[in-house]
Amino acid sequence: MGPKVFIATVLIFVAGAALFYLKYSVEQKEARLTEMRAQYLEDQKALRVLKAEWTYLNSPGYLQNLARRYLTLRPMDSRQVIAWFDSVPGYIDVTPFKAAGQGSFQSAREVVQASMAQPPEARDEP
Amino acid sequence: MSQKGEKTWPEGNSRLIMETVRNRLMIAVFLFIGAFFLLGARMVGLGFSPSEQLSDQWARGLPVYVAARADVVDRHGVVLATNLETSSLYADPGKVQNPETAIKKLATVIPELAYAKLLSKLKSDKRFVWVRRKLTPQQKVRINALGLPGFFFQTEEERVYPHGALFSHAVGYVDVDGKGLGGIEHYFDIQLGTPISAGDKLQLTLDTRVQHALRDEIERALQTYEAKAAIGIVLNVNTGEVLAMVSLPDFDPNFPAAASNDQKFNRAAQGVYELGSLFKTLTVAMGLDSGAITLTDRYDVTKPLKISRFLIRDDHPKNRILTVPEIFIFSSNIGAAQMAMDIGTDTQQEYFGKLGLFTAPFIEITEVGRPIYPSYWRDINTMTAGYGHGIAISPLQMASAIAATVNGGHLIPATLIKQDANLRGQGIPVFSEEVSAKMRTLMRLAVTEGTGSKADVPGYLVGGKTGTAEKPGVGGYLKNATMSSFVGVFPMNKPEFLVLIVLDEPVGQKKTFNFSSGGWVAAPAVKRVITRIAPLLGVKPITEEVRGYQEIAYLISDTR
Repeated sequence: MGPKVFIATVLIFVAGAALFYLKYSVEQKEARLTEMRAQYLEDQKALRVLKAEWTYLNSPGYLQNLARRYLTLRPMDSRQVIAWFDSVPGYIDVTPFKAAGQGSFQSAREVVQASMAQPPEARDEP
Repeated sequence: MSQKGEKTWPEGNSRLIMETVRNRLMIAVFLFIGAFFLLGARMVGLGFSPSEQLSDQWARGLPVYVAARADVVDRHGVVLATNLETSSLYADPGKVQNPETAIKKLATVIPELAYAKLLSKLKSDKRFVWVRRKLTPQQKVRINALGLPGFFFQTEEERVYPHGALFSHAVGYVDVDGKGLGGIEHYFDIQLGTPISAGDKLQLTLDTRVQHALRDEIERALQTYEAKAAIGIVLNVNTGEVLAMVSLPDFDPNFPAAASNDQKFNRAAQGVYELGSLFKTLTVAMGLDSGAITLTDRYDVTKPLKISRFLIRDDHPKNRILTVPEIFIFSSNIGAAQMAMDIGTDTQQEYFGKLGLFTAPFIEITEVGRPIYPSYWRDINTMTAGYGHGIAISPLQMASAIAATVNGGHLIPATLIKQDANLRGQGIPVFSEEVSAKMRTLMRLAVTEGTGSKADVPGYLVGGKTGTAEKPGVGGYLKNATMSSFVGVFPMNKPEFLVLIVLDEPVGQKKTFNFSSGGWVAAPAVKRVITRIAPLLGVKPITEEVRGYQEIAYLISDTR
């Protein structure tokens, strides 16, 4: 048996082993894939259940009962709703803060002082 | 023979044979090498191909769960009806060993089981009998733990309504096999039952938050005034979209079998009623539009009207001559009847026809009531129709007709299905824009100065009309049984939404001084509904008062 034959035999065994290894790992991956697909289907069903449960738990009637029992909140009155922000006492327009940079204390103080110094302009709109 | 043949082959041929064999071997070797090269090339190719392309191929093959029936969602995508997987218990009677003890064991898990009925089923020759459809997951686990032979589970889908009774009439319900039996579920049974993709859903115009606010408030009114039934509708006057529709008593569509026919009856769309004074809105609008009356016209309402054997009276007579706006805001029957006569039977019929009050309205549910009106229309019918008697229509029709008087004069059919606003069109023109502007003022005045004062919500410019109709009974109208209603529209400077509430036979309470009229029982309910829904619907309050009022009002937390 010459060296050529020996190398060829070794190569055949290595190739065979590699092929079996590949086949085996592909099978494993396929099994895992089938499992994952089944899981994916189950998850979709579970999502539907969770969505329905979420809707039930967020149902206004359910929330109202909880609020009545555990909170002291009451339905809003129309006079508590405002159309313009400057109807709120002590309201300070924050837009200048953003314009003045990264909201440093210096600029914040300036804005507050400025708003204290002069009353807000009256709006024409109701 | 072969041995013999080998020996007989000439020596010189053996080299030739070896050569042939080697050549043939080489062919096989090259074939194998070629095949390996192909495999190698394919692997290298796969390695280099972009991964998205591959994952795309996998994704296309991913299993997608499509429920047997499409979901129904509200205008913001909140689930109103969905299909969930559930287990049902069935039995193979041939394999059940001891039916009596088996049922007794099952009854510990499902107490509602009918013993005798199930026993006869289990002793029959069939191979398949249902024991119980749609078990809860907990029941399934407990039945499994009993380990009864002959009993099996079947996976089924169950229709679930997460909001319970909230949408019972609008969305409807299905039977145990998932067939739509009421409301949207019935009207769109085929479309809902054949979903094509997992995301298929039917979007309605209803708003869960508005629907809840409306139901909560009319239920409160129903209980406070011991009414037999209550109806509520919230309508977008410019698009015809129904934001909420409630009919009480209602039922839980998750358990339709437990509901009585009375509970299943959709009073908002199927019930037809003589809605009384709400009709005066239409009478005044058609009078102004046809030119038969003007706002400055006056009518004598001091004496009850006597037409043949009929007598038209006012509940709270004003004993003087009233202008048209006064007749409207104080709701005078005598005045409205005279107005109707001035308008004339033909014109009144023409406007009723344009407003669709002689035919069943179109809306995407099957339970729609057909109006009831006299087949032969005499003068007395014209007069009584002027203040809403002698013609019975559904509250839904009433809401659409009132919307037409305030939205610029267009009758827009009510709809429950969310769709592109451009596809809906402008509706049918019934009144002129000028008449509509006058009606808006009149309805606002009926709240600020007239019978609807209890519906006013500061900031939202509510306008409306009260209605108190005596119910027809044996041998005439019943004095103490009324349909009390209020229709409110807000904001009146640019109407957006309409709230109609009708209470069936409310009983006057101490706090309403025993009055049970629309202005006393329905108007406060409309007020409460508007207070709750206006901020949700993005209607900004308008400060009627001087600037500064709100700053101070804001500091008072206890406003009521």
